[in-house]
Amino acid sequence: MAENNSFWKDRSVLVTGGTGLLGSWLAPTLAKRGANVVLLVRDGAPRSLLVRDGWLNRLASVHGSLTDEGLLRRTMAEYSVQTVFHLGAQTLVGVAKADPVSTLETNVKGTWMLLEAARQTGVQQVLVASSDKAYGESPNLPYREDHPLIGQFPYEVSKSCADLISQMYARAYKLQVGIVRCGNLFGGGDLNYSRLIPGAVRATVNGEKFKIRSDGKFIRDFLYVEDAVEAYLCLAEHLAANPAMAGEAFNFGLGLKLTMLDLVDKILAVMDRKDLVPIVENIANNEIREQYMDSAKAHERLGWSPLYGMDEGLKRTVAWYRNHLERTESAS
Amino acid sequence: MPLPPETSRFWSQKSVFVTGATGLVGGWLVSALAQQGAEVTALVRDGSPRSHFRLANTSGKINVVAGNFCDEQRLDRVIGKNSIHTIIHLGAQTVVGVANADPVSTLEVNARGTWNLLDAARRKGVHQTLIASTLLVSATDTHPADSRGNKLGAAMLQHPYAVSKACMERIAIAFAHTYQMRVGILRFGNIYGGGDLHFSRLIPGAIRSTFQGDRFRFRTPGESQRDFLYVEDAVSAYLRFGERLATSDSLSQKQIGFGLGERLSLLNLVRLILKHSGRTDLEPMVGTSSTPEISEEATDINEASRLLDWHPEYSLDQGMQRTIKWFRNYFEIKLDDYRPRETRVPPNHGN
Repeated sequence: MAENNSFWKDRSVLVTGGTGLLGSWLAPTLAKRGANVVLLVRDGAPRSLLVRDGWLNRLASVHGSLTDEGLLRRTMAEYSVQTVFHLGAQTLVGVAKADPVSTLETNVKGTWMLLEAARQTGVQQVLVASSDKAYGESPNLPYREDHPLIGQFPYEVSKSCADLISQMYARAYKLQVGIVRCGNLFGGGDLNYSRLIPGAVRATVNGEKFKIRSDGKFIRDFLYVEDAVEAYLCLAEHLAANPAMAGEAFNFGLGLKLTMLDLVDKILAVMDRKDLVPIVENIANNEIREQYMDSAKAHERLGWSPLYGMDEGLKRTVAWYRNHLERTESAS
Repeated sequence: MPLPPETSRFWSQKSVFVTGATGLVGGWLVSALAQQGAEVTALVRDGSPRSHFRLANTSGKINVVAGNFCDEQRLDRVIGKNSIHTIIHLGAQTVVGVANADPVSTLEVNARGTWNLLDAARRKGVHQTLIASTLLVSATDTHPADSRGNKLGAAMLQHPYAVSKACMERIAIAFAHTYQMRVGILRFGNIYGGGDLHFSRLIPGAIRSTFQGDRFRFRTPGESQRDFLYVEDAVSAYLRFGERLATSDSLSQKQIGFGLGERLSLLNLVRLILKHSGRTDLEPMVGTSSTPEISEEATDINEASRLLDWHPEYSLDQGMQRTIKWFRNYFEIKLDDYRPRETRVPPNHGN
């Protein structure tokens, strides 16, 4: 979408999960395009990109939980919210397994509370962050949007349910809901080094060989965070122009079918350290082996295509981590 | 009840926790379990003085606990204290109209209630859990490449009730799959029988208006097709599934459909009620409302037959006769609540 369009100018936008990876890039982009952004922030997140870059202090924020019905309604009403980006979720697979109830409370109940508050306060549109994880394990790859949502693990199921409930609110209550199913997001600001890309980049910056816990042959779909930001904005703009699209879901991924080894190889190439051949530990292989999406619907219906893609996205990401890790080192 | 003797032995002295005991299936299931010697604990939220659960007078044999299954601490205590072996989770908000009017309370009970209950079952090491679901869900988990297609799936997503049950099943699968719990999911069409006191529902409503000598009034053309199962057949499905699941890992996470395997339109169902009430003169009035109605596929009961050797015992005629008899008995005791004394008339009024 062209950056000069006026859709976001003076638009009142609520972002949940604003301190997360995607929110930290989305909220500043919205602000730069003239939107009045309000963030729903649960816990203080001093390491968030949004805090480090000083954005949090420049944007309105309300403090509390997604499951606080009164707070959601008050926020939407008081700030005359027109668009909601619902990104807030418990996103760590391991945490979901260790404590399924709190993950379901945040991801599933949090979603219906938010949609109900939006319905009651007359919010125009809600963009919901679903995920390719919502589909669950399947022999029918790549995932297309009409694939059933049948996750089998707590995190996946929390996304399957949130997605189904979002579709229902659009159909039963005529709420303008757009559902975004992205692949794994990567980009500057993700300090969760247990994830593949942050972990591999940090190891390489430190001159260490990256350890892959699986056999390295797992396939995931990836998307660079700035490409994801444009995907959300693009869907919101189309939804406003064409409300009949309400309740539809869109895949946004690169569909590259890269194995983890391929991806680490790309990172090493970008960082010019192909000598650091990764160590394949082959001890954790009980996850879904292959997940990738067909994003043709987003290309055809929304005219969306990734601006950065994998190679340029990785370059930007690596540059961010280099800078970040240097600063942290010199600070300590 | 026409159950083989080995079933009776299985449930003897088993500690069983039933949610939704005051509902239609709950009342009959609790009686059957008590008859077969199970130690039943029933979780009861609201007092329902007229439910079959109360009317069947199982008091003394059943451990009744007040509370609701969104209360985690209570669940923990009840399940722990009674060393529960099997949970039968029937408790749900099942009225489609209530779900439309208040999606949040329906999701709270049907989705959140299920994760609270299963988490308690996980922590307390309950042997197995049976979950009541609906055939509507099968439309949401079929891949479009499969022969049945999922056209109906998209249509289901406009119904908060169907979506709440779709979430419930997925949550149950996640617990079973992730924590190696034994969970069986039973999908039913429409269950009917004595004890269903939701008179806003078709069968109780139509029986009551017939009994009162009024023509039943549809808001819709009454053309949508459903699979109807008599409540005692639903009870035998739970007992059989529980008995087989207890010793079979391969049945865990199975979603099995139960029904008659045939469909009837709502209009013809009301005509059946009229036939067995001897009031075919009260031809129902149909409307033109196009409110989206839920239509079902006929239940595929091959799996229930193959995996559980379960078969319905009651035809629609037999089930309906028993149901009408139950309601006749109920109305005769309680008639004063429905009609002023002076207009009380025998059922042949209007001929």
